[in-house]
Amino acid sequence: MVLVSHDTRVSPVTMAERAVAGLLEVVARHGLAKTTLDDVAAAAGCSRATLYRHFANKQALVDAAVGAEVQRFEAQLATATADADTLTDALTAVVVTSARFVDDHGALRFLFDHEPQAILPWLAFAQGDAFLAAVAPVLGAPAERFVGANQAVRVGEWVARLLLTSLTFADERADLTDPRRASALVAQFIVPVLQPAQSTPQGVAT
Amino acid sequence: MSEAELPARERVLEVAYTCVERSGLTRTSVEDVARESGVSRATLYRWFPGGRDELLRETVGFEVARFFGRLAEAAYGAPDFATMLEEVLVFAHRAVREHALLQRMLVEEPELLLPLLTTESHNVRPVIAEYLLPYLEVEARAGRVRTDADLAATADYLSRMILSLISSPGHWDLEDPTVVAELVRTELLGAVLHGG
Repeated sequence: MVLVSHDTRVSPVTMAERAVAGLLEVVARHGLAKTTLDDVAAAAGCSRATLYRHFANKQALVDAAVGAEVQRFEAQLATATADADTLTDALTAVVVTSARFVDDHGALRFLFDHEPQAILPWLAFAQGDAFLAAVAPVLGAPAERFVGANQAVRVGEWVARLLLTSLTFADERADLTDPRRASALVAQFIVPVLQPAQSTPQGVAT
Repeated sequence: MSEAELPARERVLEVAYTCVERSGLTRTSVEDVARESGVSRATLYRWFPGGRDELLRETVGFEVARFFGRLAEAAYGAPDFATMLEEVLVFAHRAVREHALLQRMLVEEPELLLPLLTTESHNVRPVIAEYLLPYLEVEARAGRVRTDADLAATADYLSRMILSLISSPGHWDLEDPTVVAELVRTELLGAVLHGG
């Protein structure tokens, strides 16, 4: 959840942050379709008029929330992977951090569990390609210092597929918040592909 | 439901499928299906206690099962696992693109269709993993498996990636056989099997 500034002066930036926090709070309780800007104003502790000065409509606020949450996610990813010594550690941290981000995210959780129609169209078929193209560089970035930029995007797409299918085909095998499971998947199926046997035989697990 | 009712139930799903083809998911009702199948509403509610939602979910599930049945047929007789996966991806990609009703629903009613194809499709992914497992066992007996993951976990992983690729190929051009061969032999199986 985005923290509300303790500063009592309401600058345009903190107002937007409060609105985003309010939206996420309301969506986590009631979903997206039923949420109105009135609900968000109440949750954010501001007037409807103030909210409308910053956001023309609900979609504008949702867009702002997506942007803010992507930034927050990228910051978490950078922190979680900063100390990784190996490609396996870095990618495991990416998988676990991403899975926990969704798991801890009240609003996303509500949408996946109760309002999938609001989120799945952005993740599957033609839109899914656009989503993969957008997230692959983000998820792959921590791998870049191990495998270079091109392979990093490629592995980012692979990690995105792993995470997406764990959300859309959830079952007991799909829990990627578990570091042991995530690390096994990364080490068994993703890392060996990036270190093909013919070029670095010593890097191949047997 | 009795054994004798199964074919009748399947026929109802076929009728429901044609209703969806004509009117879409939103405007298909239990009444429509009852009228066109000649099965009473009471019987339909006995077979589908969840009513319209359950009938539609089963109808989509019925077509998904048919889709993967055709997929399995297309891949039948492939000389090895890698070739089989190549054929599966090429066939599935083309079948998705050419599936007129699927494409129309994706435009007109994605919010209704997609949960039925993913989060609410409780057995699609496990069925694919089960289909892949015997192929992996053949490769393992021939000494061609290099991963230390158990075969069920490998089949599970591959089923996820294949479903993901069928839905969204991403940057892979699944119409180009060279690209598909590279995808299967390096990205999908590079960590699973020896050689390429």
